Amino acid sequence: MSKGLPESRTDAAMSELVPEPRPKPAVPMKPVSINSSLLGYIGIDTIIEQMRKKTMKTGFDFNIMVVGQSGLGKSTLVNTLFKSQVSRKASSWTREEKIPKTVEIKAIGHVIEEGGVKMKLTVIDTPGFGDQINNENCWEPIEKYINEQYEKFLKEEVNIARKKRIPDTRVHCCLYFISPTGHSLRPLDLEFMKHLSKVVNIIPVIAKADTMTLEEKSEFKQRVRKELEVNGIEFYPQKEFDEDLEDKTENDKIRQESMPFAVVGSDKEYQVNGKRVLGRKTPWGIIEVENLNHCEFALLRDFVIRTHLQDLKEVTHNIHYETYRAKRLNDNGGLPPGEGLLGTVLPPVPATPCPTAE
Amino acid sequence: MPASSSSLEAPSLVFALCIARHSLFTAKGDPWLACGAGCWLWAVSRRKLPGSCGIRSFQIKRFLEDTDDAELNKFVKDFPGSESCHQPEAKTRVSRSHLESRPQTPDLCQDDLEFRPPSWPQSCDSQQFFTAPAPLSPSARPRSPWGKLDPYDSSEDDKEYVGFATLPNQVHRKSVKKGFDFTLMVAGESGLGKSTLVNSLFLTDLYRDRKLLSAEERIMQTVEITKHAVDIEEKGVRLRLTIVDTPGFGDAVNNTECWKPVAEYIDQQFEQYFRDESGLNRKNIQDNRVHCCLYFISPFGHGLRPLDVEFMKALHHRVNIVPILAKADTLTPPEVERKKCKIREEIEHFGIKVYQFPDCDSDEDEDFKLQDQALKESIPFAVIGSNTVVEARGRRVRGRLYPWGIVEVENPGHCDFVKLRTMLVRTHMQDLKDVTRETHYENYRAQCIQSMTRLVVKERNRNCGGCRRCCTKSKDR
Repeated sequence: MSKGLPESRTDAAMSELVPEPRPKPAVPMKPVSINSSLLGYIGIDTIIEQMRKKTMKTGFDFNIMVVGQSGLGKSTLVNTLFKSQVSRKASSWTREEKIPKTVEIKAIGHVIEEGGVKMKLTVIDTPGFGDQINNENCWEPIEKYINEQYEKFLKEEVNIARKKRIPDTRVHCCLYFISPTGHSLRPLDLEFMKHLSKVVNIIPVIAKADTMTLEEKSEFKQRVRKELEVNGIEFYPQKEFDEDLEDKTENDKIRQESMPFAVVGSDKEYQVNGKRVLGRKTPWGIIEVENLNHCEFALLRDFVIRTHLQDLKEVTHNIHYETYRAKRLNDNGGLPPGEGLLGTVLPPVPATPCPTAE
Repeated sequence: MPASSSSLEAPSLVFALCIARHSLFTAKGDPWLACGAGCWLWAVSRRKLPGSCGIRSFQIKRFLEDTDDAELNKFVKDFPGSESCHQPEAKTRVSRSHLESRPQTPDLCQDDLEFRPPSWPQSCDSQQFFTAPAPLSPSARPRSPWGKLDPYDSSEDDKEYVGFATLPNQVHRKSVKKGFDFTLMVAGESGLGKSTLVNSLFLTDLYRDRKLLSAEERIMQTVEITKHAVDIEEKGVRLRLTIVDTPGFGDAVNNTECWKPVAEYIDQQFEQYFRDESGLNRKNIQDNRVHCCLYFISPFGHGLRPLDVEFMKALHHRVNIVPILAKADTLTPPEVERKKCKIREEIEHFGIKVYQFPDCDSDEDEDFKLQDQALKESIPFAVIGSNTVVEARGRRVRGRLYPWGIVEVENPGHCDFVKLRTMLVRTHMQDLKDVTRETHYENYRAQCIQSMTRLVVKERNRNCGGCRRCCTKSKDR
């Protein structure tokens, strides 16, 4: 494919693509705004309503991946997040379904509906991660999977007769579960996040946070934040992609105070003060999942679902996917083994990378 | 002994007579001593030995006659009652009042005279028995230093027993003077609360100056072995406690064979002891052998992880392993039960031999048996540790303060900390040491000797070239 490119283009593109520094975010140029006073009501604002109607009809999809050692409550948390049994808990495995020797990837799709809006949710589970004695390179199957999804999308995009709506299986969000040791991150955590923060949106989450008292929690979070900073790991929301001041202040607050979210998950309900709440019942009290004094589950849920869902998808599409695409199209025939754009002809690439907004 | 007659009842009385006669009719004798001896023998002849219905006089005779019986001599020497024989004067006054106040005390003096055998050879043998003091004349015994522990506390017992049931107390006294030592190893991933638990168990702060490593420092770290020693004294008993820690265990990305340093350390301690034991000067052997290993299992997994299994299998023949379910306040009670069941099942499935509590004797009372049974069913112990003291239910206790409640470390309804502490410190500490000494160390020693022998044989075969002449020659010899 790269043979079709003019030489100068290749050089220009290559100079752009040094492994470490990322290409400039491919967002649409902001149109120059002219402040004109309106003489009457036109009705431009109804476009929001039209968009809303459209999305309600088409629905949208969201792919979330959960990564972490077994037993950290990943499936329970996802079930709690989406208030339905979308993930099968590993504790219900039979004796034969023991810890797999290599990391497996299991993607399970569900359609959930709320307020007339349909969402096709896919939960991607990674059993076997970090459970073996030798965990070297156990992130490689995960990286491979993510890249495969980008590859699939790229193939579809590059087709001559392409579908109106390309099915999106790319991973929009990766929840990484940190074990609540109370000391610091583990070497495995650092390695994983270093390798994958450039490929997918990682949201670090402190699992089973009912292990820690309030002081331990805040100390641990501070230490984790510091370590991530020292190692140059950019978790979502990444600083470099803040579009304007408003975003920046909001995200700064989340980045520096709340993240990583210390969560507790539960699928059982108990009666507290006359209300039925999701929680965990212990001999010394009931831990309420949605109580902000107890844990930060509510913050995580609002963050992922209520405020930043669309942003997660956009960052995945505009940044991570574009990075992958540019790398692939400029690789001189260095295709991953066994894969290729066989059977399709790549159209000539225009001189400047044209952002494709969907 | 003059009573070489075959009659069985006679010897004891004859002995009494002997003493009585000597006391009454010689200048050196002491009448009270005579009576004392008489009473003693009378009592001895009537007492009930455990397991036998009434003393056999011939047993006593054999006991007394056998001058080669070193035990008896030693016993007689060591027993504090022997002091009385050196100060007969002082005791007599006391003795007299005691004797008079006791209605059961027979007045043997008259009886003895009646039983006097016709022939009474005056052998000097009687001398040696005379010098044997009467350690148990009821009055002659000084107040026992063990107070409540004295098995002979009641005045009833005094008359009927020989008194060597106090031997355990003597051992106890000597050991208390020497002090005890105990080496405990803690192993498990970092962040499972090992240090906190050790501090809670022994109410010390062993890890005050510890510096925790950050994640990238830990990438380069290998498994180390560190030792902290502390002397604890409680109610006059001294304990030298050594805690062996294994920082770095299970933390790296690649943990293959990370138990090796631990196994090597344990073997090293055995080797050291073996050398010391085989050496010439054995007075001050220091026992650094690891008596118990607390292995911390993470509560976040679904039971045992592959690393846990590997570690325990590598070490269950070298040290007593007690599995612990760490940070149990993460789990609700049904979850704790489920995990314990699962872990026990997996331990059996993989053939891991954790420390077995010894079965209690069949003659123990029901309460004790129930307690023992409960202990056995609690493995692995689900524990919580804490370095902080909180206010709960009006008392200050060790615990953890959460927004939703307070966890008390020493509340049996919250965790098994109390059970673990009881087991480790109050009931099974000695047994742990015994098993280490008798089983694990002996296994090591046998293996060591076997391999040494094999080496020697190999060397010898190699040296003589295995030629037939040498071998046949040695055979003839």
